[in-house]
This record gives sequence, C-alpha cells and structure tokens, in this order.
Amino acid sequence: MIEFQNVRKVYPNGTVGLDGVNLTIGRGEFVVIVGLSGAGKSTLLRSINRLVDITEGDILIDGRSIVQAGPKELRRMRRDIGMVFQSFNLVRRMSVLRNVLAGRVAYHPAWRSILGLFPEADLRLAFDALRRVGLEDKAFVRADQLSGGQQQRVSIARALAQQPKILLADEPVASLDPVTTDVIMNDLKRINRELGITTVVNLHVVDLARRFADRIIGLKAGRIVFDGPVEAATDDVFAEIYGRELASAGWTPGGGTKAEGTPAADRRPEFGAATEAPAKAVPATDRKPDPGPGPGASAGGRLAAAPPPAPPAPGMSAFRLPDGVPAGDPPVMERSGERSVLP
Amino acid sequence: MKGTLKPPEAALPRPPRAYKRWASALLFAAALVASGWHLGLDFGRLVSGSGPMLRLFRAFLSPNWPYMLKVLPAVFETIRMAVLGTTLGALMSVPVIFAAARNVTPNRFVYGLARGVMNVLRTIPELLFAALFVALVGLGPTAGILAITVFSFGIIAKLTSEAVEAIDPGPLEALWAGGASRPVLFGYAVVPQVLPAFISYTLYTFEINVRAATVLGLVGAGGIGVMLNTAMKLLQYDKAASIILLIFAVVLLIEALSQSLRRRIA
Ligand SMILES: Nc1ncnc2c1ncn2[C@@H]1O[C@H](COP(=O)(O)OP(=O)(O)OP(=O)(O)O)[C@@H](O)[C@H]1O
Ligand SMILES: [Mg+2]
Repeated sequence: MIEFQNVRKVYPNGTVGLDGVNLTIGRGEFVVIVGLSGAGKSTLLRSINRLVDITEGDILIDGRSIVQAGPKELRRMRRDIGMVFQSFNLVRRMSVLRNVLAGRVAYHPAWRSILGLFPEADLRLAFDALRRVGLEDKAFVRADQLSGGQQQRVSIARALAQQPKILLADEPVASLDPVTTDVIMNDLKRINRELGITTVVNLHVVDLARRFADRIIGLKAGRIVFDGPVEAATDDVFAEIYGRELASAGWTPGGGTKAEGTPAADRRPEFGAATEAPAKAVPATDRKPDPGPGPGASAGGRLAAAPPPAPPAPGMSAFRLPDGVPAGDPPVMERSGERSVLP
Repeated sequence: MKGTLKPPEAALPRPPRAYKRWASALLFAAALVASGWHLGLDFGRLVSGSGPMLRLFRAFLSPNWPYMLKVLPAVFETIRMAVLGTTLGALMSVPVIFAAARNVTPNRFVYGLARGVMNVLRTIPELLFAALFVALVGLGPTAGILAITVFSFGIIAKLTSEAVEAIDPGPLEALWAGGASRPVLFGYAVVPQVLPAFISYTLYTFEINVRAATVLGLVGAGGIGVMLNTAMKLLQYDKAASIILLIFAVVLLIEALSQSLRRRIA
C-alpha cells in the first residue's frame, strides 16, 4: 500500500512539483496517472521510491515512511519497488541476462554483484522474468542489439527480478510505436494481474489510459484534480485535466473526430490517437472479468505460449533448469502467492 | 496585430568584409617569413647536406641485414619499455580517471586536483621526462620506462576520464532506484560502460609509446635510440639506415595490430 499524506514538493528553483497531494493506492491496483507535460507526474512517481525528495508531508509504503528512512533502510525499501523508465536505462553493452540480474544486486554484497557471482536461484528468477516478457531466447544477446520494445521488456524483466511489491513505470511507452506500445502495456497489465504487483504508470495518452487503467489519477499543476475508476473518467474529466484550452483548440477527448485533419492533431499524435477512443473505450470498461489482455493479439499469443516449458537457449546448458522447474503454471500459483511466484 | 510580420527597420547584418580576410592572410604570411628569418632557416643547407643524405639514402636501398639481426634485441628492449611503461601508466591512471570525471567524483577539490595534475603532466613532452629520469636514476631503460609511465598516465587518465563523463546515466539511475549501493553502481554500471574506452585508449597510447621509445635513447634512456644515436655520430650510415628501416617496420606492425584490436573492441 502506498500512502501520500499532504505531500508537497518544491524544487530548489521554486517550481512547485506537487501540492497538497493525499493519495492511497491499495495492494494490487493498476493506477494510471495522467496530466499535461509539467503537471507533476514524474515527480509523483519518483517520490514513491524517493528518487525525488519531497519538501513536506510523508509517504508510507506498507505503513513505513520512506521519507524518513535512513540510507540502509531506504535501499531495503527500494528493493521492493521496481521501476521502468521511458528510456529503458539498460547497460547497452551488457547481455540481456546481466541487465536482468541487475534487479538482484540489492540482495547481495556489492562485490558479489560486481563480479557477477549470482546464486543459481537468481538465474532462475532472471529467466523466469524474461519468460514473462517473452524474451527468454534473448538472454545472451547484447542489450543494444534489441529493438526499443524488446529493450523495454528487458527493463520490465529487470524490475520483476527484484521480486517487487510495487512497480513504477514513468511513461514506459512514450518512445515506442503503437503496436509495441500495446505489447508493453499488455505485459504490464498481465504482470499486475498474475503477480498482484501494485502498478503505477504515468501516461500522457488519453486513449491508453482509458484502455489499460483500473483507476485514473489526473494531475494538474501538481494537484490531484481527478481520482476515480476508469469508468468515471469521462470526456469532461479529461478536458478538465488537460485544460479547456485544448478542447477549444479543436480537440475533444474521446469523440475527437472534430480534430480530424487539423494541424494541431497532426503535430500531436498522442491526441490524434484519441480519435480511436470511442471504439476501444467500450471493451476497456467491461474488460474486468476477462482474464485475457484484450485486443492486443500478439500478447494473447504469448500468453497462450506460456505453459509449455521454455526452450533452452543455446549455451545456457551450464545452468539449465531441471526439466519442469521453470515452466510451472503461472496463473494458478500466482493467485495463491502473496508477493510473487518467482522462486 | 495578428499575423502581420513587419520588416525590421535596422539594416540586415552583413558578412565580414573581404579585405579583413586578405589582411589576416598577409599578416600570417609576414609572421611566417619573419620567424623563418629569425631562426636562420636556410634551405640551401638541404643542398649542402646532400652528400651525407645521399649516402644514407643509398644505404636504405641496400640495408645491412646481418647488422639488423644484431640490433634486434635492442628493438625488443624498446618494445618491452613501451609495454611496461604503458601498463604501469594505465594502472596508475585508474583512480585518477574517476577522480577527474565530474559525474562520479566525490568532491570538487579531488576533481580539481586530479584535473590539474593531468593537465600539467600533459604539457611536458616525453623526451623531457626521459632526460629528467636519466638525471634521477641514471642512464638505461629504467629511465625510459619511467618516462613512458608518467607520459601514459597523463594521456590515458585524460582521455578516459572524458569517456567517464560521457557515460549514460540511465543505468545508474535504474540501479539506484532498485536499492543498489554506490559501489554497485560503480562496478555494475560505470565500469562496464568505460572499460572498452579504457582499453582502446591504452592501446592507442601504446602505439604512441613505441614510436616515442625509439627516440628516448637520444637522451640515454635506453632502447634502440641509443644505437641509432651512436651510428649517426660515427657516420655509419649503413647501420643508421638499417636501424631506421627496422624501426619503421616494427612501428607499422605494432600499429596495425593495435588498430585491429581497437576496432574489435569498439
Ligand atoms: N529537477 C527539477 N528542478 C526544477 N524543476 C523541476 C525539476 N524536475 C521537474 N521540475 C518541474 O516540476 C514540474 C513537474 O515536473 P514533472 O517532471 O513531474 O512533470 P511531468 O508531469 O512528468 O511532465 P512530462 O509529461 O513532461 O514528463 C514541472 O514544472 C517541471 O519543470
Ligand atoms: Mg515526466
């Protein structure tokens, strides 16, 4: 559980990043934070794992203040919080596997991590994490040889390898194409469901927020201006979050046909994408009982492919898992497991 | 108000006049001639010195093969000097590389100090270091190795610390966010990013050092240069030519090797 209590953040230059934020995010929720550029989305997300130090108030993670934690306790608390960045933040020259193992470093003394002396259990975790994003066959490839979407999936696997209770994603799809965007968002959503990891995602695309969020939080100038289930986030709500100016400039959220062909829509593909919203918003709202990832066909295919045992990558025989160990049946185990199914 | 763009009233900026460029060119030419005259530059000496030069040239065409074999050990000594000096210099540079990189150094004083030491070292030519160390430790390859060490230290530290400043901070942030300690950031994200640059710059410095090591003998700091110096002084042009040819071949070979290695690392 994440609790913001009267949180205020003022940057050294006087900019107010967050103002009077009170917020509770429960275990296992999938929350999307929306808002204009500069609204404070990153500030909010990064204050959860204290990449940003807040000025006033308190932030509690499962009842413990991360704001007041000492250096050692802070590192302990961060271990339970995975993070995914817009720019992937992989060590590009290192192998995919070593990048995923970076998620394990906080569990060991520094020298072990640096020398790469990870216990076998960590390798299992890393491979399991890679399998969950469909990249187990890329374990020994250098990270810079992957596409952007694949790199982002590696970074998700790295976060998963932490066995986190919370997963933060700061505009994880902002630099990806629409198809890859769906794959990544479906991965995040599926991981949220399967492992029950509380997930907070920053997005600036209304359409995506509608399709994937269970709960939407709207930020404007550092303040929460909307907080509610996705069904309650009407066009009017988005117009409020994004400012009336946009609506009057020819953009109508949801029913965006009015914007068709206007230069404004051309220059802002993220709003142009909103023109598809009406068609997709419907399945999004009644998706809840549906365990599948929705319209994303590719991810559905991967999900179906999960049960058969992972084909061993060439050269991995050195630490190949005993037959049957890695496969398991994720969905069943996950629901019972509190934190994570990862061994 | 809306949509009316008024032409600016002030005159448009003009490119600098052509005469300024001509004046600069003339001034430069004058300075060149003046300094040549001041130094007593005399191309006529090239002609008057053509006798020895011709002899040296003829010697190039028919090198003294047996003598070449005889100086081979000195060539190996030269290469060993370069290898030892470069390695020692590279090892010494490691802490300074990070101290002199603003993005990883603990404090500004350490940074300033490291930068200062590096910059001073790099203004001093290798031959001067060699002369200095000959005075300190006496004639022989030890002085040469020390000179190369100090010189390599300066170059490798300077170039690699710039590579450290250019690393991608993204992975560090990711590790930090996941609860990693500073040593882990360093070993897991900084070092892997700069290791290739470090190796590549070390090889590059080694190439320079092989060339430099061949002339360190001129000040008595060991290597093949000692023999070249002697041969020239005794007007043994055939021997001098043989040595020069050998140096030429060795330098070419080593550069080719080192460059192919560097290309593979990049
Ligand atoms: N390090 C900083 N120093 C000063 N001001 C900052 C800093 N980081 C962010 N800000 C300011 O704080 C406000 C909120 O920034 P934040 O990055 O949280 O916005 P955002 O909603 O994530 O925007 P975007 O969609 O562009 O990423 C902005 O006005 C921004 O200029
Ligand atoms: Mg942001």
